[in-house]
Amino acid sequence: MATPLLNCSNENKTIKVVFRNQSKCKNCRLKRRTIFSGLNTTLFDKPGVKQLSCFERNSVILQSGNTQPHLYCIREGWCRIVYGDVKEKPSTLWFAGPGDLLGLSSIYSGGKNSFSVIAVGHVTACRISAPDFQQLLPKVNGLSLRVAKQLSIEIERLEKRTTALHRRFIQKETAKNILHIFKKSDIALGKKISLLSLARKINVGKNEIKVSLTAFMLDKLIRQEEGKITITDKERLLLVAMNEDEWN
Amino acid sequence: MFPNNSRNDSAPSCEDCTTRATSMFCNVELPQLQKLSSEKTSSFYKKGQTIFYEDRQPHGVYCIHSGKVKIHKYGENGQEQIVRFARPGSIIGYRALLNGDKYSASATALENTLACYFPKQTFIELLKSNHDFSLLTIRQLAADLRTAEHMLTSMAHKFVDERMAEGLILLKECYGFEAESSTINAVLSRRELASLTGTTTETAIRVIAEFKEKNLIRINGKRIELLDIEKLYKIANMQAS
Repeated sequence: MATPLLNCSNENKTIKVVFRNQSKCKNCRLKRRTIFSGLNTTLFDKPGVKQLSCFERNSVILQSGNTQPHLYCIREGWCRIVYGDVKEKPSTLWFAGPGDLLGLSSIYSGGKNSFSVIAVGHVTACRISAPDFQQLLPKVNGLSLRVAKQLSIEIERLEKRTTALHRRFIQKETAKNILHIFKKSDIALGKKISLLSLARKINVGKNEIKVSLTAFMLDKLIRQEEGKITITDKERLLLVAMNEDEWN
Repeated sequence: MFPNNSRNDSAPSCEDCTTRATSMFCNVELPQLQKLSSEKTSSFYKKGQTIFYEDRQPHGVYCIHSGKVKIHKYGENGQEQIVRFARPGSIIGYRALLNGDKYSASATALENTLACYFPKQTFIELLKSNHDFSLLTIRQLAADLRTAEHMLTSMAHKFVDERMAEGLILLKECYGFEAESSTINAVLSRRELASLTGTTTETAIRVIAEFKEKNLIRINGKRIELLDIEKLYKIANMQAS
Protein backbone atom coordinates (compact mmCIF):
# COMPACT_ATOMS: atom_id res chain seq x y z
CA MET A 1 0.00 0.00 0.00
CA ALA A 2 1.44 3.39 -1.02
CA THR A 3 1.64 5.94 1.76
CA PRO A 4 3.17 9.40 1.23
CA LEU A 5 0.59 12.03 0.34
CA LEU A 6 1.27 14.49 -2.45
CA ASN A 7 -2.00 16.26 -2.67
CA CYS A 8 -5.21 16.37 -0.74
CA SER A 9 -8.08 18.44 -2.04
CA ASN A 10 -11.72 18.73 -1.18
CA GLU A 11 -13.69 19.38 -4.34
CA ASN A 12 -17.32 18.64 -4.80
CA LYS A 13 -17.51 16.78 -1.51
CA THR A 14 -15.00 14.33 -2.94
CA ILE A 15 -11.75 13.90 -1.15
CA LYS A 16 -9.02 12.83 -3.48
CA VAL A 17 -5.68 11.73 -2.21
CA VAL A 18 -2.89 11.15 -4.66
CA PHE A 19 -0.16 8.76 -3.70
CA ARG A 20 3.45 9.09 -4.70
CA ASN A 21 4.11 5.39 -5.08
CA GLN A 22 1.89 4.08 -7.80
CA SER A 23 1.49 0.36 -7.89
CA LYS A 24 2.00 -1.08 -11.33
CA CYS A 25 -0.78 -2.78 -13.26
CA LYS A 26 1.39 -5.78 -13.95
CA ASN A 27 1.82 -6.33 -10.20
CA CYS A 28 -1.79 -5.59 -9.33
CA ARG A 29 -3.34 -8.48 -7.44
CA LEU A 30 -6.73 -7.54 -8.86
CA LYS A 31 -5.68 -7.60 -12.48
CA ARG A 32 -7.25 -10.98 -13.16
CA ARG A 33 -10.59 -9.59 -11.99
CA THR A 34 -10.46 -6.61 -14.34
CA ILE A 35 -10.98 -6.26 -18.07
CA PHE A 36 -7.17 -6.05 -18.30
CA SER A 37 -6.75 -9.67 -17.20
CA GLY A 38 -4.19 -11.51 -19.28
CA LEU A 39 -3.40 -8.43 -21.38
CA ASN A 40 -0.10 -6.63 -21.65
CA THR A 41 -0.79 -3.41 -19.79
CA THR A 42 2.75 -2.04 -19.41
CA LEU A 43 1.65 1.05 -21.36
CA PHE A 44 -0.74 1.94 -18.53
CA ASP A 45 2.20 1.95 -16.12
CA LYS A 46 3.83 4.87 -17.91
CA PRO A 47 4.06 7.99 -15.71
CA GLY A 48 1.07 10.28 -15.90
CA VAL A 49 -1.38 7.74 -17.35
CA LYS A 50 -2.94 6.71 -14.08
CA GLN A 51 -3.20 8.09 -10.62
CA LEU A 52 -4.30 6.52 -7.39
CA SER A 53 -7.27 8.29 -5.80
CA CYS A 54 -9.12 7.67 -2.63
CA PHE A 55 -12.65 8.53 -1.60
CA GLU A 56 -14.26 8.64 1.76
CA ARG A 57 -17.55 7.04 2.64
CA ASN A 58 -20.56 8.63 0.87
CA SER A 59 -18.42 10.82 -1.37
CA VAL A 60 -19.53 11.17 -4.96
CA ILE A 61 -17.03 9.57 -7.30
CA LEU A 62 -18.95 10.31 -10.49
CA GLN A 63 -21.80 12.76 -10.68
CA SER A 64 -24.66 12.27 -13.14
CA GLY A 65 -24.97 15.08 -15.65
CA ASN A 66 -21.25 15.85 -15.53
CA THR A 67 -18.87 15.16 -18.37
CA GLN A 68 -16.01 13.17 -17.12
CA PRO A 69 -12.49 13.01 -18.53
CA HIS A 70 -11.38 9.86 -16.76
CA LEU A 71 -12.17 6.29 -15.75
CA TYR A 72 -11.78 4.67 -12.38
CA CYS A 73 -10.61 1.13 -11.81
CA ILE A 74 -11.59 0.22 -8.25
CA ARG A 75 -8.83 -1.23 -6.10
CA GLU A 76 -10.47 -1.29 -2.69
CA GLY A 77 -13.96 -0.76 -1.37
CA TRP A 78 -17.42 -0.78 -2.84
CA CYS A 79 -19.50 1.82 -4.66
CA ARG A 80 -23.17 2.23 -5.41
CA ILE A 81 -24.23 3.07 -8.96
CA VAL A 82 -27.35 5.14 -8.47
CA TYR A 83 -29.84 7.21 -10.37
CA GLY A 84 -31.74 10.17 -9.09
CA ASP A 85 -30.56 13.10 -7.02
CA VAL A 86 -27.61 12.09 -4.86
CA LYS A 87 -28.72 14.58 -2.18
CA GLU A 88 -32.14 12.94 -1.96
CA LYS A 89 -32.58 9.21 -1.73
CA PRO A 90 -31.22 7.85 -4.99
CA SER A 91 -32.16 4.37 -6.18
CA THR A 92 -29.35 1.88 -6.36
CA LEU A 93 -28.91 0.14 -9.69
CA TRP A 94 -26.03 -2.10 -8.78
CA PHE A 95 -22.82 -2.23 -6.78
CA ALA A 96 -19.30 -2.05 -8.13
CA GLY A 97 -16.32 -3.49 -6.31
CA PRO A 98 -12.61 -4.21 -6.63
CA GLY A 99 -11.63 -4.75 -10.25
CA ASP A 100 -14.64 -2.95 -11.74
CA LEU A 101 -14.19 -0.09 -14.16
CA LEU A 102 -16.34 3.02 -13.73
CA GLY A 103 -17.29 5.56 -16.37
CA LEU A 104 -16.57 3.49 -19.45
CA SER A 105 -19.79 4.22 -21.32
CA SER A 106 -19.69 8.01 -21.04
CA ILE A 107 -16.27 8.35 -22.65
CA TYR A 108 -17.43 6.44 -25.71
CA SER A 109 -20.83 8.01 -26.08
CA GLY A 110 -19.20 11.41 -25.70
CA GLY A 111 -21.92 12.33 -23.28
CA LYS A 112 -22.48 13.06 -19.67
CA ASN A 113 -22.71 10.50 -16.92
CA SER A 114 -26.24 9.19 -16.71
CA PHE A 115 -25.73 7.83 -13.25
CA SER A 116 -23.83 8.80 -10.16
CA VAL A 117 -21.36 6.64 -8.29
CA ILE A 118 -21.22 6.92 -4.50
CA ALA A 119 -18.59 5.34 -2.27
CA VAL A 120 -20.22 2.91 0.15
CA GLY A 121 -17.17 2.88 2.38
CA HIS A 122 -13.58 3.96 1.93
CA VAL A 123 -12.68 3.47 -1.73
CA THR A 124 -9.35 3.58 -3.52
CA ALA A 125 -9.26 3.54 -7.29
CA CYS A 126 -6.83 4.03 -10.14
CA ARG A 127 -7.84 7.05 -12.14
CA ILE A 128 -7.02 6.68 -15.82
CA SER A 129 -7.38 9.67 -18.08
CA ALA A 130 -9.95 9.03 -20.81
CA PRO A 131 -7.83 10.33 -23.73
CA ASP A 132 -4.94 8.11 -22.59
CA PHE A 133 -7.24 5.13 -22.34
CA GLN A 134 -8.65 5.76 -25.80
CA GLN A 135 -5.16 6.16 -27.21
CA LEU A 136 -3.92 2.96 -25.62
CA LEU A 137 -6.95 0.92 -26.63
CA PRO A 138 -5.67 -0.10 -30.09
CA LYS A 139 -2.17 -0.64 -28.72
CA VAL A 140 -3.17 -3.22 -26.14
CA ASN A 141 -4.02 -6.35 -28.03
CA GLY A 142 -7.47 -7.68 -27.16
CA LEU A 143 -8.53 -4.71 -25.03
CA SER A 144 -11.19 -3.50 -27.50
CA LEU A 145 -12.94 -6.83 -27.32
CA ARG A 146 -12.86 -6.72 -23.51
CA VAL A 147 -14.27 -3.18 -23.47
CA ALA A 148 -17.04 -4.25 -25.85
CA LYS A 149 -17.82 -7.22 -23.62
CA GLN A 150 -17.87 -5.04 -20.51
CA LEU A 151 -20.33 -2.62 -22.13
CA SER A 152 -22.52 -5.54 -23.22
CA ILE A 153 -22.65 -6.78 -19.63
CA GLU A 154 -23.66 -3.33 -18.41
CA ILE A 155 -26.47 -3.10 -20.98
CA GLU A 156 -27.68 -6.54 -19.98
CA ARG A 157 -27.73 -5.51 -16.34
CA LEU A 158 -29.76 -2.38 -17.08
CA GLU A 159 -32.23 -4.18 -19.29
CA LYS A 160 -32.79 -6.74 -16.57
CA ARG A 161 -33.58 -3.93 -14.13
CA THR A 162 -35.99 -2.44 -16.67
CA THR A 163 -37.79 -5.77 -17.02
CA ALA A 164 -38.00 -6.01 -13.23
CA LEU A 165 -39.55 -2.54 -13.07
CA HIS A 166 -42.01 -3.60 -15.70
CA ARG A 167 -42.95 -6.69 -13.72
CA ARG A 168 -43.63 -4.45 -10.76
CA PHE A 169 -45.87 -2.38 -12.99
CA ILE A 170 -48.15 -5.40 -13.66
CA GLN A 171 -48.35 -6.17 -9.95
CA LYS A 172 -49.39 -2.62 -9.24
CA GLU A 173 -52.05 -2.62 -11.95
CA THR A 174 -53.42 -5.87 -10.50
CA ALA A 175 -53.47 -4.38 -6.99
CA LYS A 176 -55.29 -1.31 -8.26
CA ASN A 177 -57.92 -3.39 -9.99
CA ILE A 178 -58.48 -5.66 -7.00
CA LEU A 179 -58.97 -2.62 -4.77
CA HIS A 180 -61.37 -1.16 -7.30
CA ILE A 181 -63.42 -4.36 -7.31
CA PHE A 182 -63.63 -4.29 -3.51
CA LYS A 183 -64.35 -0.54 -3.46
CA LYS A 184 -67.92 -0.77 -2.21
CA SER A 185 -67.86 -4.08 -0.43
CA ASP A 186 -66.44 -5.61 2.69
CA ILE A 187 -62.88 -6.75 2.13
CA ALA A 188 -63.34 -9.58 4.59
CA LEU A 189 -65.96 -11.14 2.37
CA GLY A 190 -64.44 -13.22 -0.36
CA LYS A 191 -65.18 -12.20 -3.92
CA LYS A 192 -64.95 -14.16 -7.11
CA ILE A 193 -62.75 -12.38 -9.56
CA SER A 194 -62.55 -13.45 -13.16
CA LEU A 195 -58.88 -13.71 -14.00
CA LEU A 196 -59.70 -13.42 -17.67
CA SER A 197 -61.55 -10.12 -17.34
CA LEU A 198 -58.84 -8.80 -15.05
CA ALA A 199 -56.21 -9.85 -17.58
CA ARG A 200 -58.13 -8.19 -20.39
CA LYS A 201 -58.51 -5.01 -18.42
CA ILE A 202 -54.79 -4.75 -17.76
CA ASN A 203 -53.99 -6.15 -21.18
CA VAL A 204 -51.84 -9.00 -20.01
CA GLY A 205 -52.20 -12.75 -20.10
CA LYS A 206 -54.13 -14.77 -17.51
CA ASN A 207 -50.88 -16.34 -16.38
CA GLU A 208 -49.36 -12.95 -15.61
CA ILE A 209 -52.31 -12.19 -13.33
CA LYS A 210 -51.87 -15.58 -11.67
CA VAL A 211 -48.18 -14.79 -11.05
CA SER A 212 -49.08 -11.42 -9.51
CA LEU A 213 -51.78 -12.96 -7.34
CA THR A 214 -49.40 -15.66 -6.17
CA ALA A 215 -46.90 -12.95 -5.21
CA PHE A 216 -49.64 -11.14 -3.26
CA MET A 217 -50.63 -14.35 -1.50
CA LEU A 218 -47.03 -15.11 -0.55
CA ASP A 219 -46.77 -11.57 0.73
CA LYS A 220 -50.01 -12.11 2.68
CA LEU A 221 -51.78 -9.21 0.99
CA ILE A 222 -54.64 -11.38 -0.19
CA ARG A 223 -56.03 -14.85 0.42
CA GLN A 224 -57.59 -17.13 -2.10
CA GLU A 225 -60.05 -19.78 -0.94
CA GLU A 226 -62.48 -21.77 -3.05
CA GLY A 227 -61.93 -19.46 -5.98
CA LYS A 228 -62.76 -16.39 -3.88
CA ILE A 229 -60.30 -13.61 -3.13
CA THR A 230 -60.18 -11.86 0.23
CA ILE A 231 -57.99 -8.86 1.00
CA THR A 232 -56.02 -9.56 4.16
CA ASP A 233 -53.81 -6.45 4.24
CA LYS A 234 -55.58 -3.56 2.55
CA GLU A 235 -53.05 -0.93 3.57
CA ARG A 236 -50.12 -2.73 2.04
CA LEU A 237 -52.10 -3.57 -1.07
CA LEU A 238 -52.97 0.10 -1.31
CA LEU A 239 -49.30 0.97 -1.08
CA VAL A 240 -48.54 -1.33 -3.98
CA ALA A 241 -51.27 0.31 -6.02
CA MET A 242 -50.30 3.84 -4.96
CA ASN A 243 -46.73 3.39 -6.02
CA GLU A 244 -48.08 2.70 -9.47
CA ASP A 245 -50.17 5.87 -9.28
CA GLU A 246 -46.97 7.80 -8.75
CA TRP A 247 -45.71 6.40 -12.02
CA ASN A 248 -48.77 7.34 -13.97
CA MET B 1 -41.72 -19.62 -38.98
CA PHE B 2 -38.56 -19.86 -41.00
CA PRO B 3 -36.99 -17.07 -43.03
CA ASN B 4 -37.74 -17.20 -46.69
CA ASN B 5 -34.53 -17.56 -48.69
CA SER B 6 -36.18 -18.43 -51.94
CA ARG B 7 -37.32 -14.93 -52.78
CA ASN B 8 -35.44 -12.75 -55.21
CA ASP B 9 -34.90 -10.13 -52.52
CA SER B 10 -31.39 -11.28 -51.75
CA ALA B 11 -29.10 -8.60 -50.38
CA PRO B 12 -26.25 -7.30 -52.56
CA SER B 13 -22.63 -8.10 -51.76
CA CYS B 14 -21.14 -6.02 -48.93
CA GLU B 15 -18.93 -4.14 -51.43
CA ASP B 16 -22.00 -2.87 -53.32
CA CYS B 17 -24.30 -2.46 -50.32
CA THR B 18 -25.83 1.00 -50.13
CA THR B 19 -26.77 0.67 -46.47
CA ARG B 20 -23.15 -0.10 -45.53
CA ALA B 21 -22.41 3.64 -45.21
CA THR B 22 -24.79 3.82 -42.24
CA SER B 23 -23.64 0.60 -40.62
CA MET B 24 -20.69 -0.37 -38.43
CA PHE B 25 -19.09 -1.86 -41.55
CA CYS B 26 -18.67 1.61 -43.11
CA ASN B 27 -14.89 1.74 -42.64
CA VAL B 28 -14.15 -1.88 -43.51
CA GLU B 29 -11.78 -2.16 -46.44
CA LEU B 30 -12.31 -4.08 -49.67
CA PRO B 31 -10.47 -7.35 -48.92
CA GLN B 32 -12.34 -7.71 -45.62
CA LEU B 33 -15.61 -6.75 -47.29
CA GLN B 34 -15.09 -9.46 -49.87
CA LYS B 35 -14.46 -11.96 -47.10
CA LEU B 36 -17.64 -10.80 -45.31
CA SER B 37 -19.62 -11.18 -48.53
CA SER B 38 -18.38 -14.68 -49.14
CA GLU B 39 -19.28 -15.80 -45.63
CA LYS B 40 -22.68 -14.17 -45.21
CA THR B 41 -26.15 -15.39 -46.07
CA SER B 42 -29.18 -13.19 -46.56
CA SER B 43 -32.73 -13.96 -45.51
CA PHE B 44 -36.08 -12.36 -46.03
CA TYR B 45 -38.41 -12.00 -43.05
CA LYS B 46 -42.09 -11.21 -43.39
CA LYS B 47 -43.72 -8.63 -41.16
CA GLY B 48 -44.19 -10.17 -37.72
CA GLN B 49 -41.65 -12.91 -38.31
CA THR B 50 -39.05 -13.43 -35.61
CA ILE B 51 -35.40 -13.13 -36.62
CA PHE B 52 -34.05 -14.55 -33.39
CA TYR B 53 -35.54 -15.55 -30.09
CA GLU B 54 -34.69 -14.54 -26.54
CA ASP B 55 -32.78 -17.22 -24.58
CA ARG B 56 -31.48 -18.96 -27.71
CA GLN B 57 -27.78 -19.45 -28.27
CA PRO B 58 -26.34 -16.99 -30.84
CA HIS B 59 -24.21 -18.26 -33.69
CA GLY B 60 -23.76 -15.01 -35.56
CA VAL B 61 -24.94 -11.45 -36.06
CA TYR B 62 -27.53 -9.89 -38.36
CA CYS B 63 -27.17 -6.72 -40.39
CA ILE B 64 -30.46 -5.19 -41.49
CA HIS B 65 -30.39 -4.41 -45.19
CA SER B 66 -33.96 -3.15 -45.51
CA GLY B 67 -37.00 -3.00 -43.27
CA LYS B 68 -37.57 -2.28 -39.62
CA VAL B 69 -37.08 -4.50 -36.62
CA LYS B 70 -38.11 -4.29 -32.98
CA ILE B 71 -35.88 -5.72 -30.25
CA HIS B 72 -38.11 -6.86 -27.46
CA LYS B 73 -38.10 -9.08 -24.45
CA TYR B 74 -40.65 -10.77 -22.30
CA GLY B 75 -40.76 -10.45 -18.56
CA GLU B 76 -41.35 -13.50 -16.38
CA ASN B 77 -45.04 -12.76 -16.70
CA GLY B 78 -44.92 -12.76 -20.46
CA GLN B 79 -45.37 -8.99 -20.74
CA GLU B 80 -43.62 -7.66 -23.82
CA GLN B 81 -41.20 -4.76 -23.48
CA ILE B 82 -39.68 -3.13 -26.56
CA VAL B 83 -36.12 -2.18 -25.72
CA ARG B 84 -34.88 -0.84 -29.03
CA PHE B 85 -35.56 -0.50 -32.73
CA ALA B 86 -33.29 -1.41 -35.60
CA ARG B 87 -33.25 0.11 -39.06
CA PRO B 88 -31.32 -0.50 -42.29
CA GLY B 89 -27.63 -0.59 -41.45
CA SER B 90 -28.18 -1.68 -37.85
CA ILE B 91 -26.37 -4.76 -36.61
CA ILE B 92 -28.35 -6.86 -34.16
CA GLY B 93 -27.52 -9.83 -31.98
CA TYR B 94 -23.86 -8.93 -31.48
CA ARG B 95 -24.10 -8.29 -27.76
CA ALA B 96 -24.97 -11.88 -26.99
CA LEU B 97 -21.97 -12.96 -29.07
CA LEU B 98 -19.66 -10.63 -27.16
CA ASN B 99 -21.08 -11.78 -23.83
CA GLY B 100 -20.80 -15.40 -24.83
CA ASP B 101 -24.35 -15.58 -23.54
CA LYS B 102 -27.79 -16.35 -24.90
CA TYR B 103 -29.83 -13.68 -26.69
CA SER B 104 -31.24 -11.39 -24.04
CA ALA B 105 -34.06 -10.26 -26.32
CA SER B 106 -35.94 -11.31 -29.42
CA ALA B 107 -35.88 -9.50 -32.75
CA THR B 108 -39.07 -9.34 -34.80
CA ALA B 109 -39.65 -7.69 -38.17
CA LEU B 110 -42.01 -4.70 -37.94
CA GLU B 111 -42.30 -4.79 -41.72
CA ASN B 112 -40.90 -6.99 -44.49
CA THR B 113 -37.19 -7.13 -43.75
CA LEU B 114 -34.10 -8.31 -45.53
CA ALA B 115 -31.20 -9.17 -43.23
CA CYS B 116 -27.69 -10.53 -43.76
CA TYR B 117 -26.32 -13.09 -41.35
CA PHE B 118 -22.61 -13.21 -40.49
CA PRO B 119 -21.26 -16.22 -38.61
CA LYS B 120 -19.76 -15.68 -35.15
CA GLN B 121 -16.20 -16.41 -36.25
CA THR B 122 -16.36 -13.86 -39.08
CA PHE B 123 -17.59 -11.15 -36.74
CA ILE B 124 -15.08 -11.86 -33.97
CA GLU B 125 -12.18 -12.03 -36.43
CA LEU B 126 -13.18 -8.68 -37.87
CA LEU B 127 -13.38 -7.19 -34.39
CA LYS B 128 -9.91 -8.44 -33.55
CA SER B 129 -8.27 -7.42 -36.78
CA ASN B 130 -9.93 -4.10 -37.59
CA HIS B 131 -9.47 -1.38 -35.00
CA ASP B 132 -11.86 1.06 -36.68
CA PHE B 133 -14.56 -1.58 -36.65
CA SER B 134 -13.96 -2.44 -33.00
CA LEU B 135 -14.08 1.25 -32.08
CA LEU B 136 -17.39 1.65 -33.91
CA THR B 137 -18.69 -1.43 -32.13
CA ILE B 138 -17.70 0.08 -28.77
CA ARG B 139 -19.37 3.37 -29.71
CA GLN B 140 -22.51 1.51 -30.76
CA LEU B 141 -22.50 -0.36 -27.46
CA ALA B 142 -22.08 2.88 -25.55
CA ALA B 143 -25.05 4.32 -27.48
CA ASP B 144 -27.08 1.17 -26.71
CA LEU B 145 -26.14 1.51 -23.07
CA ARG B 146 -27.39 5.08 -23.08
CA THR B 147 -30.68 3.93 -24.62
CA ALA B 148 -30.97 1.27 -21.91
CA GLU B 149 -30.26 3.90 -19.25
CA HIS B 150 -32.92 6.19 -20.71
CA MET B 151 -35.39 3.33 -20.80
CA LEU B 152 -34.76 2.47 -17.18
CA THR B 153 -35.01 6.01 -15.83
CA SER B 154 -38.03 6.61 -17.99
CA MET B 155 -39.82 3.50 -16.71
CA ALA B 156 -39.04 4.35 -13.12
CA HIS B 157 -39.49 8.10 -13.03
CA LYS B 158 -41.64 9.35 -15.87
CA PHE B 159 -45.39 9.62 -16.04
CA VAL B 160 -47.10 7.67 -18.74
CA ASP B 161 -47.68 10.71 -20.99
CA GLU B 162 -43.99 11.60 -20.70
CA ARG B 163 -43.07 8.05 -21.64
CA MET B 164 -45.44 8.08 -24.60
CA ALA B 165 -44.01 11.40 -25.84
CA GLU B 166 -40.52 9.96 -25.40
CA GLY B 167 -41.53 6.81 -27.28
CA LEU B 168 -42.85 8.84 -30.21
CA ILE B 169 -39.65 10.91 -30.29
CA LEU B 170 -37.57 7.73 -30.16
CA LEU B 171 -39.50 6.37 -33.13
CA LYS B 172 -39.03 9.62 -35.04
CA GLU B 173 -35.30 9.68 -34.26
CA CYS B 174 -34.85 6.07 -35.30
CA TYR B 175 -36.95 5.93 -38.46
CA GLY B 176 -37.48 9.59 -39.38
CA PHE B 177 -40.46 10.98 -41.24
CA GLU B 178 -42.14 9.89 -44.44
CA ALA B 179 -41.26 12.01 -47.45
CA GLU B 180 -42.49 15.60 -47.24
CA SER B 181 -44.55 15.04 -44.13
CA SER B 182 -44.18 14.83 -40.40
CA THR B 183 -45.65 11.33 -40.24
CA ILE B 184 -43.38 8.84 -38.47
CA ASN B 185 -41.95 6.42 -40.98
CA ALA B 186 -42.94 3.35 -38.96
CA VAL B 187 -46.18 1.54 -38.33
CA LEU B 188 -46.73 0.33 -34.79
CA SER B 189 -49.85 -1.17 -33.30
CA ARG B 190 -51.32 0.33 -30.13
CA ARG B 191 -50.12 -2.75 -28.29
CA GLU B 192 -46.56 -2.17 -29.52
CA LEU B 193 -46.78 1.47 -28.47
CA ALA B 194 -47.86 0.24 -25.05
CA SER B 195 -44.89 -2.18 -24.94
CA LEU B 196 -42.58 0.67 -25.85
CA THR B 197 -43.89 2.90 -23.09
CA GLY B 198 -44.28 0.19 -20.49
CA THR B 199 -47.98 0.59 -19.99
CA THR B 200 -51.20 -1.19 -20.86
CA THR B 201 -52.81 -0.89 -24.29
CA GLU B 202 -55.79 0.72 -22.60
CA THR B 203 -53.64 3.49 -21.12
CA ALA B 204 -51.66 3.88 -24.36
CA ILE B 205 -54.90 4.43 -26.28
CA ARG B 206 -56.06 6.96 -23.70
CA VAL B 207 -52.81 8.94 -23.83
CA ILE B 208 -52.76 8.91 -27.63
CA ALA B 209 -56.32 10.26 -27.62
CA GLU B 210 -55.24 13.01 -25.22
CA PHE B 211 -52.31 13.93 -27.46
CA LYS B 212 -54.70 14.01 -30.40
CA GLU B 213 -57.09 16.28 -28.54
CA LYS B 214 -54.26 18.66 -27.68
CA ASN B 215 -53.28 18.77 -31.36
CA LEU B 216 -49.87 17.30 -30.65
CA ILE B 217 -50.37 14.43 -33.05
CA ARG B 218 -52.73 13.32 -35.82
CA ILE B 219 -53.72 9.69 -36.28
CA ASN B 220 -54.24 8.10 -39.64
CA GLY B 221 -54.92 4.42 -39.02
CA LYS B 222 -51.69 3.11 -37.51
CA ARG B 223 -49.69 6.06 -38.79
CA ILE B 224 -48.86 8.91 -36.44
CA GLU B 225 -48.16 12.44 -37.59
CA LEU B 226 -46.29 14.66 -35.15
CA LEU B 227 -47.91 18.11 -35.26
CA ASP B 228 -46.04 19.79 -32.41
CA ILE B 229 -42.64 18.20 -31.95
CA GLU B 230 -41.33 20.92 -29.65
CA LYS B 231 -44.16 20.36 -27.22
CA LEU B 232 -43.62 16.60 -27.35
CA TYR B 233 -39.98 17.14 -26.42
CA LYS B 234 -41.14 19.33 -23.57
CA ILE B 235 -43.61 16.73 -22.31
CA ALA B 236 -40.91 14.05 -22.51
CA ASN B 237 -38.48 16.30 -20.61
CA MET B 238 -36.00 15.90 -23.42
CA GLN B 239 -33.90 18.33 -25.38
CA ALA B 240 -34.50 18.53 -29.12
CA SER B 241 -31.52 17.01 -30.93
